[in-house]
Amino acid sequence: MIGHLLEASAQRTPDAVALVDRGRQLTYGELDRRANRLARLLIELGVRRNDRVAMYLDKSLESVLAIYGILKAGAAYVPLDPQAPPSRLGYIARDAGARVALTGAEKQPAWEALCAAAPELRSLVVLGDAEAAPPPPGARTFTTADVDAFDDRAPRPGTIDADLAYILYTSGSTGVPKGVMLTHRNCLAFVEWAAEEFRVSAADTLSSHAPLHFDLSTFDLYAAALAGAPVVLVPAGVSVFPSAVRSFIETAGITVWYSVPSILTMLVLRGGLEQGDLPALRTILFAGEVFPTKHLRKLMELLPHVRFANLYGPTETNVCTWWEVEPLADDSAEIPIGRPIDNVDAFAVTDDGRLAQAGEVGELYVRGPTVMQGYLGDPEKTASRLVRDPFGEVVSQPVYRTGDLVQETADGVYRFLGRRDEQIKSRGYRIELGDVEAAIYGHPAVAECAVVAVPDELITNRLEAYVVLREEVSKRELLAACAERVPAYMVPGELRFAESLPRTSTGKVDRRALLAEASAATPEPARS
Amino acid sequence: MSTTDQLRNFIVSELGWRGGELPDDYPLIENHVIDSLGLFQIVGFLETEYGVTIDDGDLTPDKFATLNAIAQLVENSKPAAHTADQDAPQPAS
Repeated sequence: MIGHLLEASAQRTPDAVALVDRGRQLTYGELDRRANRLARLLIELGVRRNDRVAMYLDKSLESVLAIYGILKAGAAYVPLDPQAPPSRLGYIARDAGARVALTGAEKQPAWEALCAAAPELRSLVVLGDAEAAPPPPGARTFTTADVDAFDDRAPRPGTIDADLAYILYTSGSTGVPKGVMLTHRNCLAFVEWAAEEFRVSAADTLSSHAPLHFDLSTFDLYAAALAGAPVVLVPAGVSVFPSAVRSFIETAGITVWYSVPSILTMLVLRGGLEQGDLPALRTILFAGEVFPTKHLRKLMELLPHVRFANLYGPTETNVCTWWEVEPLADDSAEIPIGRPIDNVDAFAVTDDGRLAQAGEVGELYVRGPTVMQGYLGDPEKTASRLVRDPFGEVVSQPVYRTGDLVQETADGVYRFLGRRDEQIKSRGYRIELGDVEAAIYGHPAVAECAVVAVPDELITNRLEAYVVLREEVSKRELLAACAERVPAYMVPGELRFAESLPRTSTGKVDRRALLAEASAATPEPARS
Repeated sequence: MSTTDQLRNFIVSELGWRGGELPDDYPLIENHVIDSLGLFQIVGFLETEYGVTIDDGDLTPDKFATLNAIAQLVENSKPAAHTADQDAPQPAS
């Protein structure tokens, strides 16, 4: 179980630093004991195996404590994006069936809206030392004092590794987020491989840049716990400033960094990095979007002592393939998504249902212990993506259809070619265009809309919306309405009104035409 | 229109800030008004709009803390040289 990683390190090296958050830190012993107390409170509140407990906190020492408290109670944590609008989070809390949420005083202004949207959510455990804040109507709050009243020995909820560990919500194509159900085994199958492949040990210092509702965080937190190494949370303000990122990595003595490429690109372009800087850093892992070769190559030249690896995989499978990047000859080299990780089977299926041969294009399917259990409460959607292995003769196991089109080279290396649907990446975030469209459609003045993704060198894609109105409304009002439904990174950067949307011969919106128009309308970036 | 007014307009229209009022001394980083991409967009705007060069060393939390701070940064920044090589190494800071 994931909690056992923490317990084992707490037993081996109780005084080793586990977690650093700005000026505060916790040792493995302290983190384990505090998580145990929190777990006992949750169990007292009725939390049982496979229950979902929401987490709504700014990323902090308290949020990591919350995660371990929930895991040790035997439940699954549902991390809510601290920056998303409360209405979307309320939907998620309700969909997840969360009756208890772990939160912080800084989130108090949003509690009422959250509980109003999720009527079963009635208990808020407020972590941190802030003054007790009044609960929303119908709900009760618990504080750190309540947690401290409990015993600090590990409870034994009887969880096995097939039980749920966390639910990660991703953008849904029809406008409602989908909860990906992941077990302890799903998580550990990835973490154990990664810790071994990248030789994570107690002598390392890991960063935690990714938000806790992204699966990149599972490496940061759990590879560190497995090794008994410290993990240092990157303060929110720091990641905005490339030179602050560089200083942070240097000062904290980070040895292994894992993040989306965009922050690394900004580090290269504006971080003031010089040849041979960051001597303690030995490994950089990146995932979530394509890293433009030009910038990756520059970064590798500046940091020749660092090992670089591209990790690929949707939330539904965590990392399923990977590729170690060798020094690049020129800017035109393509970075592949590579080969399956240990104990994972990946294969491509052509449009006509055959196993793709080398050189053929097909949809990537994944089989193995990292594959999700399904989408919470959505058997139909689950059945469309988690299918019986089409080539399983003796045993027919669930395999996940990624929707990614790939091509395998003669030596078994996969290249990513694109999506077969309306899902795109922007800044490493996964976005269903339909999700953004649904948010715009939410405004009564909108008759029709389409959102396109315009390729962008820095952030992979920029969102631009085309809207046909049924009544007068300003762009500003439409975008504000959108921002109330979806996180900021999903709000279109550009919105244009149109008399009508172009259509294909079959009557569907001609997205290609809209994309061509949007791409033509965009000015060149000021700096490249 | 003052510099802070122009900045405010840019942040609302280009960065898509919908979180309400943006007074000149409102903490921009703490309140997630500017994220890492927003920073790059603002820098591009400052360099184009005011014809200055923003040094890498000036991309720090205190210089972008508020609209006032950014306006001050513009005032303190050197005008862009016409033949500046965009890829020239910046001085270490």
